[in-house]
Amino acid sequence: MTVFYKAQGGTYTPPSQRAHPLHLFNIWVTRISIGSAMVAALLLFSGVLIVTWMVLARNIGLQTSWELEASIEIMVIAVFLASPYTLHTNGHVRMEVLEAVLPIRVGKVLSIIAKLIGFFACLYLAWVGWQITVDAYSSGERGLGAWAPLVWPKYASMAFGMALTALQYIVIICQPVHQNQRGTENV
Amino acid sequence: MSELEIGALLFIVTFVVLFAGVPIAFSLIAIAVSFLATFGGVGALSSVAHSFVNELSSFALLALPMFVVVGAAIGMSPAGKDLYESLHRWFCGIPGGLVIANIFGCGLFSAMSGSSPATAATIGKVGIPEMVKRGVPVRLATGSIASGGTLGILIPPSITLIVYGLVTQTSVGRLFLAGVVPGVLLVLIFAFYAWLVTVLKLRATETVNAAPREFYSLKEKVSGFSRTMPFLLIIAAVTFFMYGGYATPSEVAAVAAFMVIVMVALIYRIYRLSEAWSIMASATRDSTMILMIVAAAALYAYMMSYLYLTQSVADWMFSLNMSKWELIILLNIFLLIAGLFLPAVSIILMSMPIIHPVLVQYDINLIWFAIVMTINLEIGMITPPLGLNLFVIQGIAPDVSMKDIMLGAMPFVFIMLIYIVFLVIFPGIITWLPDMLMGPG
Repeated sequence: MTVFYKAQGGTYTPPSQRAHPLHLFNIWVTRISIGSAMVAALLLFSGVLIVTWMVLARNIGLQTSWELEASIEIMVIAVFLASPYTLHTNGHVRMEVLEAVLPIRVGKVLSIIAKLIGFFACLYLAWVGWQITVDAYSSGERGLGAWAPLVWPKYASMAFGMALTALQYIVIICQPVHQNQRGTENV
Repeated sequence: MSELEIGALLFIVTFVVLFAGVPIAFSLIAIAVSFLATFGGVGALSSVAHSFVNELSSFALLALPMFVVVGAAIGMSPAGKDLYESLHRWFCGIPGGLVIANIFGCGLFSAMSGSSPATAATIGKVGIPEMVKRGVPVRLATGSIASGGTLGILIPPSITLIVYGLVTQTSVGRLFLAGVVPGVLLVLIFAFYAWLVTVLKLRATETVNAAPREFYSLKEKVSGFSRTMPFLLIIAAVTFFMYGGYATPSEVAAVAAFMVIVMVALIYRIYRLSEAWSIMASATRDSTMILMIVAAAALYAYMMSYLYLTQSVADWMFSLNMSKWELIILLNIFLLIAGLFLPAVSIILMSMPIIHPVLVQYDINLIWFAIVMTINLEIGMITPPLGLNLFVIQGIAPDVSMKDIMLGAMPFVFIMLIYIVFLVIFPGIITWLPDMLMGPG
């Protein structure tokens, strides 16, 4: 995990600076995001293997049953689990056109508003994701198809992934504050 | 408020929120939810979560992450460098050969990756320093790579065409076939331009010939392809399986991803855990970005349909009583402008729910339109303010000013604009191959 974290440009902070609550929050949210992305990457790779196996099995005359639905479920879960890491690594495409043309102070305010919009969008999806997870779990709802998997793990991944993305947004929003505080501490 | 007034408000709010720097996916979610709650009532939000998840629960959509894995694995290996070097051996003897080798490199890499920035970055990393070192003007060097990179979304497998196929319910196989001839033709036109510029201008200054001439025997030329040949064979296999009816695009994409991962491990010895993580992390991140936009755009489209905006805008467009040609010109202008500001995938996802019924009503061939649309969107990738490939090139060549990169890309923009007119006048260039191999669409 350390190798992966460093490979992705994660920053190393000396132990003396790790005590600040915001910094600890930052570290733990980031660690969970990276762990979550590692699971997502594994799921994506297993999706490659499952579909390849499905094609091979069909062409040598074997019956396939669970592969199709499993690959779909895996992809959906992987997307939600990787969302916080994608935000952490600035992977969600965005266009900062207004910030570039507006005066610096207005641009900074706009930047915070933009992050808050993103935060609330993620928080909303996490909330409705949680609601449908509880509903699906209590009703034992299953998906369509031959395999008919339970759908609540898929919904739960939405609730978890988007909640973690919202937390990642808090890290990003608090970053300047935290950096300023650290700057003051250093002075 | 009338539907058209709500539509106008939506248009303004969307652009403000998008340009404020909110990630596209989260912008679309926030706008869709706000408009549904404001104009549709709280009850309209009841199916938001299901709509969002279920949009992703599609086997057809699986082609996207699988082709992204293919691109990531090839992009992180030295395959691009090998491809460039082998092409260089073939073209170094002719005027502008270096530039032509780069353009052909972009064309072939596009056939392997499906992503424009990845193509520009991979070929550009090797090609630009080499071209500049040998006296090719920086504008021609950077412009050829920036525009050559855009071929990634035209030459199959193209992520843009997969998204278009999903939104319009058009055959992805047919779309891929439709991209082949225009893509190859565009490579040849770019190469011809490079040759012409070199012959007409550069020879006079003798800058290109300043470096000693290189000579390679036929054996050396052929052996140059030994390491990249397996990847080209995988692409050939992809084409064969998809068009032979043996597997769906998603299945073919997954098999291609598996084969490319194996090849990268065998040929380039990329099998250490950290390297594998780099490839899969990059693929996971890019897939998530694209699929989140897909799901968010579906929610956005649902909101527009729920508030009767899609139908109202389409009705309004019908009421203008435009001729087919007027409509085509209008749509091309719209796509060109939208392409200046938004990524290709987002434009397709946001605009096609409105444009699609209009195209059907006017009996415009959806396959032909997809290719014309893609070339329009390619132009957006090399024009300011948000030409993605321009920024990719600047990242590769930080010594070259953005002004030079933009000016270098301009001739290629004009070529593509003329090419669009050409394809509008001669639509058979696009539809000939899919019609011949798959029957009339």
